[in-house]
Amino acid sequence: MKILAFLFLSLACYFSSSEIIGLRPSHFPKPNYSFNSSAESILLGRALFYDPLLSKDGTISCASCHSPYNAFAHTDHAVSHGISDSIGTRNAPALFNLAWQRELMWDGAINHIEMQALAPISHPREMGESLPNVLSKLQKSSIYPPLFHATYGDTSITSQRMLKALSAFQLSLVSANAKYDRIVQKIDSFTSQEKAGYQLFKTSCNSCHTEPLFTNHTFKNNGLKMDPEIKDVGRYAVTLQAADSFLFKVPSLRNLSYTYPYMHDGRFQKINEVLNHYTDGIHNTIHLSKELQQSIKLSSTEKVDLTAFLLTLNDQEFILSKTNKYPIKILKPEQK
Amino acid sequence: MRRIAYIATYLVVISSVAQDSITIIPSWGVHKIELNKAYGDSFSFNKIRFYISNVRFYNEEINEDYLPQKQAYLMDISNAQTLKIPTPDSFYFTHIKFTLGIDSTTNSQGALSDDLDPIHGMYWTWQSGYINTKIEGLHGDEKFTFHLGGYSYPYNASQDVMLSLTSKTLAFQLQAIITIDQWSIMRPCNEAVNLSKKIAQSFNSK
Repeated sequence: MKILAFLFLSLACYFSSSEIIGLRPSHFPKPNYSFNSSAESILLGRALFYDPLLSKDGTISCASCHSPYNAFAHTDHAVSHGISDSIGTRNAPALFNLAWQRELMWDGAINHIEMQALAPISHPREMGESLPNVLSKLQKSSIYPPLFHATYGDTSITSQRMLKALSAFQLSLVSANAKYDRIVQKIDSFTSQEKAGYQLFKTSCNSCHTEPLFTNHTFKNNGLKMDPEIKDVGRYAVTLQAADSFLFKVPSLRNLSYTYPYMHDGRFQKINEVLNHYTDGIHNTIHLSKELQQSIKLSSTEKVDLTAFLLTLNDQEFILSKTNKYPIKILKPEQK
Repeated sequence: MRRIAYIATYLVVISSVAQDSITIIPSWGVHKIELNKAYGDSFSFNKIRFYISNVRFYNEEINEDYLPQKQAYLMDISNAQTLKIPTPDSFYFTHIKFTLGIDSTTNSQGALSDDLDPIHGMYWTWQSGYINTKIEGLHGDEKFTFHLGGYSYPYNASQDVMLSLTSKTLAFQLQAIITIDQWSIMRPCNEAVNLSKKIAQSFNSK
């Protein structure tokens, strides 16, 4: 009997392990990555994420372009900003609900979240640093050997351990506590304006910005005219397939109030500019996604309603979460 | 009986200390390539690094494979020790099978360690994927740089090789690069696949 009870308990733990640590919201689909990281690993990843030690001159951390106050995007910066005032070519995307993504980056160049950090660390216009140098700096620091020991049981600092910890922290950034989520869970309700906006959303936006993650994780051309200075060809640069020309990843619409400016090159400052693009600004080429072939028509009142709905996707709890923020006790222990 | 088994185990352990191996030899015709030495029409090399993975030792008579534990070997001509694949002591084999490069499954597994650690500089950072082969050098005064890789359709550059073994060495020919009409390949593309095929086809055991 005891054995049966034990078996049942272990099975129950096995099937609901992700829910037990509260990371997989019940109304979200099955994630592509598991949430089985330890609290120690997430904390180590958080320290690494906020530490400018990862950059060549010690000035830029991941959080420089991915700020917690902006849902880990970069407000007021159209494109990313790296060491020595270098300017990149793309808008730093917001970081949340990454466990449901497959390819990462605007063009899907990265195939696994554990390998993503290699790109900004080594990019000359981002952190400009080499992997061996990062590891050597971590080994020499007084902070990291104990954190690696707490996570992995010894102080050995390897790229695999560092990358897995950074990934653990980023996978822990789950945003699922917006008003929309409370409505789905039937503990809140839309205003009549939000409700009207939701109907418009379902007709005009949901096929690409699919609920409940508000992206279908595909690559599309959304009718933006190519910036003649940057000449960004999008996913084509990764695959060299003509059909992928000028395609960029469909971003989530969650946390829009915090993540401006919008689009892969940050060309729009306000939600209204984005809506005007979709109703009146579509640049029609052979690459345009089929969902936009027929133009979207919205009156100015409908745009106001739609915006009211979009604002229900703001997750203030996520923005204010203390466990996502700069770990001051670890990185600046002398300050307290 | 138990004692015999014990002695047999002991012998296997002893013999595995001086483990036998197959040596891979980057070649130019009959010459074994050394770094910074001229071959043919003034070709010299300053870097030759490549992955051999998914090694299987095959016994044709019983149609069975032996799988070593190690997933991938990063071979570097500047370190002769790396150019060896240890052979099994207790398994008779007639053939060797391997992948020149890293297959697509391994390429999509996230952060790996040992020879597959991205710290070895055999991993692209701007776009996911292992660099299967790096060949760099000079043709006269002109530099050539071949970084061959790519794991997804239509630019899957890793190549499966199967050879019957007639000696303990496997040579492959870098003369294949002469047939390429460009001196720089730095990303997954058609040319990378073609050159990888040519190199893979040039492996022989003589």
